[in-house]
Amino acid sequence: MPEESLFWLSIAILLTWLGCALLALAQERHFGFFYPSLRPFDQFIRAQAAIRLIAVCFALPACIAAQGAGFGSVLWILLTTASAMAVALQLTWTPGALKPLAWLVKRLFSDFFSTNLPG
Amino acid sequence: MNALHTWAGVVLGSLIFVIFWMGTLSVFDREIDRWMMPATRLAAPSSQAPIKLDGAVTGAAMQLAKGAPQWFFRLPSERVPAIELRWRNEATKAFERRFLHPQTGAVLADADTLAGTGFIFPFHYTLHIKWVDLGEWLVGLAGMAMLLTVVSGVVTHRRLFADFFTFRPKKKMQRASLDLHNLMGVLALPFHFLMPLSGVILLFALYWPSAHMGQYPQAKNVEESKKAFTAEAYGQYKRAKANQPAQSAASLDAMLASAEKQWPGGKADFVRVWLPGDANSYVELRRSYAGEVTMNLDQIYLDAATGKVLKRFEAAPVMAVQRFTAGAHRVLFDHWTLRWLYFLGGLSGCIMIATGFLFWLESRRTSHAKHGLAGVRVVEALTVFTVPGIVMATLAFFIANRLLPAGASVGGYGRATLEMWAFYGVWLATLAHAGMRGRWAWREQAVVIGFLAVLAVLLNWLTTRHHLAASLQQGMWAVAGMDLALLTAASLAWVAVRRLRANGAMAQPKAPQAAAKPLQRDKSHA
Repeated sequence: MPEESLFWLSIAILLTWLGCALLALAQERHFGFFYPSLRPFDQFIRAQAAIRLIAVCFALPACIAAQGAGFGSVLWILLTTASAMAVALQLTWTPGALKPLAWLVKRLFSDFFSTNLPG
Repeated sequence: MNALHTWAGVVLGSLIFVIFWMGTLSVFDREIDRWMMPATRLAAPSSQAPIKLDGAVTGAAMQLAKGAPQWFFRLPSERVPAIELRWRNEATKAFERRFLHPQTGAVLADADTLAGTGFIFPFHYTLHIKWVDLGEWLVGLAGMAMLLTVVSGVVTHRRLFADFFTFRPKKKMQRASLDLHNLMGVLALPFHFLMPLSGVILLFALYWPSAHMGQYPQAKNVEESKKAFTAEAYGQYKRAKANQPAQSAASLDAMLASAEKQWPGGKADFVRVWLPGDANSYVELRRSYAGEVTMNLDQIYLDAATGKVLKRFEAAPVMAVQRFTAGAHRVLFDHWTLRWLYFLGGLSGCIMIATGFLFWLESRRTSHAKHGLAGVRVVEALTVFTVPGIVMATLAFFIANRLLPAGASVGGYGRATLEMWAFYGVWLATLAHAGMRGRWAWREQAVVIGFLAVLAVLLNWLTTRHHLAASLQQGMWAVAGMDLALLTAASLAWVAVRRLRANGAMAQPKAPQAAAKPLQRDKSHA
């Protein structure tokens, strides 16, 4: 596989995984595990939803850049599925592996969190 | 919707599982062929050793297919490194297949097996039931049922987004199987929807024969309208026999080179010689599907004596949608990342169907036993028959291929038929075993699967000397991949055995009160 294709494919994998991981972090079922002292609220959820949507959508042009329109569009669908499964397995077996991402998200959205800290 | 999802799944789930299992294996059907046909384990074609059809290769074809009205080559590729020659045997009316060495034209030892492309792939869409196309109709019915269960499953699953990534394997079987069913169903939803849809579209001509009549009103009957459609959509060129011997023959290699110039970036992978030896003989070349999802219909027909182009065909733009859909389903392109993703998608479908059955069984086991109903027992026997049963039958198919000696025959039936008998015999035995042993059959069949998978790897080593390390060292990725897949299957079977032993729910039904307790929400990650 040419280096340029490999680069865009890596970007696509990263973006689809990021989109799925952000979706998982914002979910009620998992939020408490990653942010035990916080509670989810609308602004934060909406901002995260926008980022994950952008990440997954931007993975499509990355797939097309890597493999062309035909392969790229099929690859995007299957990569999104595979990334979602990878995140689900991470949450099942090694949820701690997602903590660095959770920490990064907390730093990025610190304004939202600071208004929502208990006490 | 809940009832529709449950009953469409319970009634047709077994059939859908069988189709999904065979479809998943078909993603690597050519790699299975390499494992089952050791003589074809050649090095992949390279620019250092170009294929030469003229001379020895064509000579071997003329000799093997003597008297046949046509014969064809499938040219070597990374996945099939030998030249595949096929012709119709006029005496038996059956198609024969041999593999030739791409450089020397030597006829490779015939394994006499249907293998992946001849047994597993046709099983996926015909179930090998040819009578009034019943197999294809059943597959179509299963495809429609799958679409219904996928849509109704989304509607039924109220906590679709809340449970998006939730899997709790340490919970009881009922809870864990529902988690896994939802996880596989929801995360791979596009795949589970697009595969049956594209499958039904692929066989549309069978399911909707009158469609052609509407498009070709001048045709007198359905058959005539089908012919008119085929000629216009897929291309067709015919020339009558001259009944005179051919005076000369143009170079097939030159024809290939000229065709490839006309298909920028594309290569020919199919060469058919019509009316060989006749003065009106002609050659059909088809462009490879390797480089794109869309299964192109590019063809060139040339005069066999002079090499002059007789007809060129390219599909009309309207066919592009159908050909893209067909290509996305058939996975004939060369793209290893996508091929593996398709395989994983197929496996996720198998897991989704199997865990759906497990949830149905576990949630009704106690109440059916209490009321003396046979439902769980019948569905359990069918589920064991179709889930571990077909896996075991597939392994028996592989093992028979490695155990049967060359030229083996029983009552006039050759090796290929004996391998199929091994498959169907073991499969029926798993049904009988499931009927007799009930829930214990799960664990016992998982144990046998583990042993058979390891045995298949050992037999491949003993009969071909290609053990895993040797296959990897010599770059025989298809063989190494098969061995690794078999060892993975053995490991998963071992995990399943341990899990089934540890899980009391499968071994001993709980008291009715405990089993009837509603599922608790759990926020833990364990």
